[in-house]
Amino acid sequence: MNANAENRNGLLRVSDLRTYLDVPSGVIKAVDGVSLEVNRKEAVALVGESGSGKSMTALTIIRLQPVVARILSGEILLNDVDLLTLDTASMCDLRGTEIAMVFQDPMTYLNPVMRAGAQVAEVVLEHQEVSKGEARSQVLDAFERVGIPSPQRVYDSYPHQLSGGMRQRVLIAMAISCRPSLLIADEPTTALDVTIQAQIMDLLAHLREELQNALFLITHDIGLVAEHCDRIYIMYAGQIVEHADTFTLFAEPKHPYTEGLLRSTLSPDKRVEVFETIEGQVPNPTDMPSGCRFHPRCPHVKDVCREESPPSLDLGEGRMVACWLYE
Amino acid sequence: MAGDYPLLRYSVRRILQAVPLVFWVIIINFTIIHLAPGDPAIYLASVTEATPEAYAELRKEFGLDKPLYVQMGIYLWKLLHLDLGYSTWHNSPVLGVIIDRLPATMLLMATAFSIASLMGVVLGVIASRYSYSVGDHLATLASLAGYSMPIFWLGQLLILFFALYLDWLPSQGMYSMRGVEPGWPAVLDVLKHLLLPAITYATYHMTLVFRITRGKMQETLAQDFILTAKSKGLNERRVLYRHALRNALLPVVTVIGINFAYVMAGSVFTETVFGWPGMGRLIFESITARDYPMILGIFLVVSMMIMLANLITDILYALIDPRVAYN
Amino acid sequence: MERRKVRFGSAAIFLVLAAVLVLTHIPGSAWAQKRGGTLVIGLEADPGHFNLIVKPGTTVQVPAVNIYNKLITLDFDLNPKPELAKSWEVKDGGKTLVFHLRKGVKFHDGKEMTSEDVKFSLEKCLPYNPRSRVFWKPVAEKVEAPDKYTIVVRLKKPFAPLLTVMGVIFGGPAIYPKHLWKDHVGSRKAFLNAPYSKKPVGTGPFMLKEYKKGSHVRLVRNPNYWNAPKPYADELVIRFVSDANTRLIALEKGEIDYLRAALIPWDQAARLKKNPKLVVLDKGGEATGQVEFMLLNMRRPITGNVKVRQAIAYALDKNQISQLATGGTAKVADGIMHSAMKWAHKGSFAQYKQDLKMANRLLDEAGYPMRGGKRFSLTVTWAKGRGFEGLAAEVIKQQLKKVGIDIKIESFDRAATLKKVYINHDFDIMMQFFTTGPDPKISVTRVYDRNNIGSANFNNAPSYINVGVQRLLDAEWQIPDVKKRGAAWRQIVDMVAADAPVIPLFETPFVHTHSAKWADVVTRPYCAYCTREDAYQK
Ligand SMILES: Nc1ncnc2c1ncn2[C@@H]1O[C@H](COP(=O)(O)OP(=O)(O)O)[C@@H](O)[C@H]1O
Ligand code: SF4
Ligand SMILES: [Mg+2]
Repeated sequence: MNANAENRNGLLRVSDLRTYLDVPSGVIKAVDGVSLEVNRKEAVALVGESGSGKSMTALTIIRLQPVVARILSGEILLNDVDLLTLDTASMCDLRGTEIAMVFQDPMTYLNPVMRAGAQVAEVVLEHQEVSKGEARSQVLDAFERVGIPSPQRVYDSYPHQLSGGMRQRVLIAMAISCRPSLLIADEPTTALDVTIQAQIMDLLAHLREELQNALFLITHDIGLVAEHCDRIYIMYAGQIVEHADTFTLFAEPKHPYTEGLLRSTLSPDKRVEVFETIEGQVPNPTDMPSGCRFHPRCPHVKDVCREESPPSLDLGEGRMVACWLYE
Repeated sequence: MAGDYPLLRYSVRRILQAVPLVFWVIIINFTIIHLAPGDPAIYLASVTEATPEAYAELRKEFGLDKPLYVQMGIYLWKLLHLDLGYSTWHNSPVLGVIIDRLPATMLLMATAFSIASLMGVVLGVIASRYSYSVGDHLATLASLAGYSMPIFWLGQLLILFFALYLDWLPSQGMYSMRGVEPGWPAVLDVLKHLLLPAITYATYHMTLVFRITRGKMQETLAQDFILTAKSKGLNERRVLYRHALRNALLPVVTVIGINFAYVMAGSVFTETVFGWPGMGRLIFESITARDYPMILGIFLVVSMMIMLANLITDILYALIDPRVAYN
Repeated sequence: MERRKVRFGSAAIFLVLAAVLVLTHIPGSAWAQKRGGTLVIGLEADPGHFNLIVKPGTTVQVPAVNIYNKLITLDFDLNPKPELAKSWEVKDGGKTLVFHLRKGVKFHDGKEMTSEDVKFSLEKCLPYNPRSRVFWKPVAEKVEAPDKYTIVVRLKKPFAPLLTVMGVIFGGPAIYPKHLWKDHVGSRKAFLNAPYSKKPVGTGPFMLKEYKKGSHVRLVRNPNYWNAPKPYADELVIRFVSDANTRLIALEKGEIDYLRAALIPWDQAARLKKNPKLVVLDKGGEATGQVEFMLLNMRRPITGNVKVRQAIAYALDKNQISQLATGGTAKVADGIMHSAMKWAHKGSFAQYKQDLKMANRLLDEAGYPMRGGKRFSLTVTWAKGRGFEGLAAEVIKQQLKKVGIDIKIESFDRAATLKKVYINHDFDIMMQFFTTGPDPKISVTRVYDRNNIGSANFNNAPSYINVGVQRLLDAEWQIPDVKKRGAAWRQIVDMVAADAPVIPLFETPFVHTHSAKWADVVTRPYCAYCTREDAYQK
């Protein structure tokens, strides 16, 4: 608690979070000692290949991790309150109001048999003491805010009658309808067309200005975050391997994995999957390599890397890296 | 004109499509029934210990001396004039006898069907919520038992326990034969008689609805939009009933509709065990008496009811699922 | 004063004692019959209507016998007793029957019943009754109504069984009101379509009040019944319950007060007897007189040998057979007809008692010496459906083993078995029960009549021919005098016993069960068709 006192801007502070999944083939250490921070009004990115545990980190933060998940350790402080100690009802009260989440695939994350407007109004009605008419007008407001051209029509439409971009806007409207202080967006553009992707990213940035919320953006596409985020966490195989402000990270990546990621974005075809440009495969989640988890793919691998996992090194000015190269 | 009512137009078309189907049902029923050993004349002659001449007279009276195709032609011709024929056993117009018996079956069926559907769905939802808990396993086992238990056996078990051993309820029939005042006491008396057959009748059906609801709920709960609903801060009940159930209900409704045929079949056993004066027992008695016109009439009415049930199922489906278009 | 008091006291004590004695020692009938109550009878199916004329099956009869009357009825010894006819005379050596009707008997609609109605019922209705006409058609010539209360039936030739037959509903017609039916005669259809099929009007103890399709029929007391104060029950409800188990439960629970014999499985009788709320009785089967037999095929070389047949009869322990096959409820049969027909059933020939020495000697004489504990093999056939016949066959197998007869048992479905036995003569021994009442002419003759061989089911399966027996069979039914006719039958019984084409085993039980709250529920020798006018609540 004392630590937070010095950072009055602190909103979310996750420390040493471990979320393990019990699956038939063993235990997946999906989130394995993650610490991160998001300040008020700040935009922070969590970047890593698919399967690295980004979504699991986000889900654990709003405590919607799957039933097979076990949280072994950690603290999730939101406004100095440890979410892991809250009862279910209080957690429900926070969801949608303090933390809201936008998911990856607008096709599947909307209820197919409920009208779009009703799905959004539900959040308002759940958290605010308002009449149905009031809720409706709030929703139409939110629709306008997220740039839905004909809010009335969309309100009464079913998801299958809307385009992908429109659906994602509905999901975003849903997330901001109660003006949360933290918006978690988990790959919000991955399922969309390239042109729409940019629109949605702009929308998120624009909304942040308007609503003054913090944005925790999760993506596997490091190119996407450059213009929108203040700081970046790089995640690999359940762990944070590097952290820096955006400018520094792009200018001067430290971790070999970050280097690889950046190389892939610089390649002409941005849409090439990351793991194709970094040699080798994401490790088997139930059977992680010993030592540094990146070592089978690392071009700079040393002997110690295979034996011992590298410590998280504080490089000053908020920079962090976990790699034997900087010991 | 009907263009403005797609549902109406759809229903009319479906009913028209059913006409040739009904025709074939009649032809097949007619043939099967007439090819089965025995005939109404033999039965009547045997219960009255009639002489061979009397038997021949009966055959002639029932038109059984004519070739089968002629008999069928006569039957169809009468049917065209909405004449279902004359019961050989009851010696009344078939339609009249069926109409006499229909209310009792309707009462039993509506009660059992609603109990079964409602309980099956609610229990299925609860079981899906507590998936793979001890309670869920027990419920699944019980439902399997209920599903595979013959109605005859279950009915008799209930009679032995509740009617004979505990002496709480009447063992059979629809009315008490002694000392019931008209008005409310009479209504109450019927309800008392209704309870055991309704439970028996409902059990098979309920276990089926339960199992399907549970399965579909589990599937639905694993879907993405459930995560959205939870992230909105909805409490668990809302998530289960408003979001999951509405989606899971679609296949459940179909199953309930399709099972209507089995429900009709179940009525034969239930009504026979409980001496319930409905159509089910009428079928049993008519088959015993080889009352051809009666059997044919009942089968016709039942197949039309089943088709109607299927139509209602489809319409319900369309009402629940906005994605269905009537084409 | 003092002495009178004492005397009065002792008189009172004596009276009370007497009353207790009477009450405890004389069953049923000693109770004062009082009116009241609803008697509920279980029936296996909805009759559909109450037209006794054309559909005299059980389901119609059970309600209808309470709505209609016949001319005469029978007591438990199968003697004719007055019903609508208060007396009768047999004249012209049996060719003329004169019935004197009760006066002032009213139909339910208030019209008086007269000889016109009886004549109408005999002439116009009876020919359409598929059961009754079998007895009437060959013998009846003319029915006359010389006055309002007299009926004269003229026969082509004497027919001695007629009076007995008229006492049972399937033989004698019920009396229908001519004024209602006269425009609905002439065909089965006409009768059926008459409104009185479903709204019966008779002279009987009860009147139709309510018919709930598929559920029950409710009859109420006929307030003008000629046999007042009967009926004692205010109401009679006949309730349709098709499932056998449910029926029994309803009986035990008191939702049904009476189930007739056909609806009580014998194996349940012992259990029901233990229930203090129920009364189990074995009577009312006299008119049907069912007897279980072994039929021996006289066309086969072994069973064709009279010594073998007699030996089998001597080898059997009928007591054990009836005990084991029916759970001890049956009475051993001692002739080819039921003992209820006292006037005819017993000859002078002592029936076969178990005598293994005699059996062995007869088998030796027949030329089948014992070799290694065995003489020969025979097959016993029984038709599926009556489990007790299968049980009896097993017991017989064990018993005949002792005299070296090896029995194989076979069983097929009913239709197949009947064809095999009665038409194709393809059997050694068949287990079969026959109705033998209410008169031997009706149901015994057919089994021993040489003209019946191979003609139809339940006729002369053994292919029995005995000229002496045949002569008696052809003549006995025209003898109007019961004593002489009885003598003829006793002779037939003896002759058949000596030839042993069949071996009577036991009289099949006839267990009715009714609620202990009721008495006199069964007062006629034909249970299903018994009127319930005598039944009263204790
Ligand atoms: N519901 C689940 N059950 C089992 N394993 C899961 C589940 N969800 C995710 N995982 C596993 O956890 C690991 C991390 O997944 P995730 O957080 O979705 O990665 P990311 O979002 O970075 O692509 C992966 O190995 C994935 O297979
Ligand atoms: S610790 Fe070793 S293996 Fe891991 S990234 Fe650094 S150099 Fe590569
Ligand atoms: Mg993810």
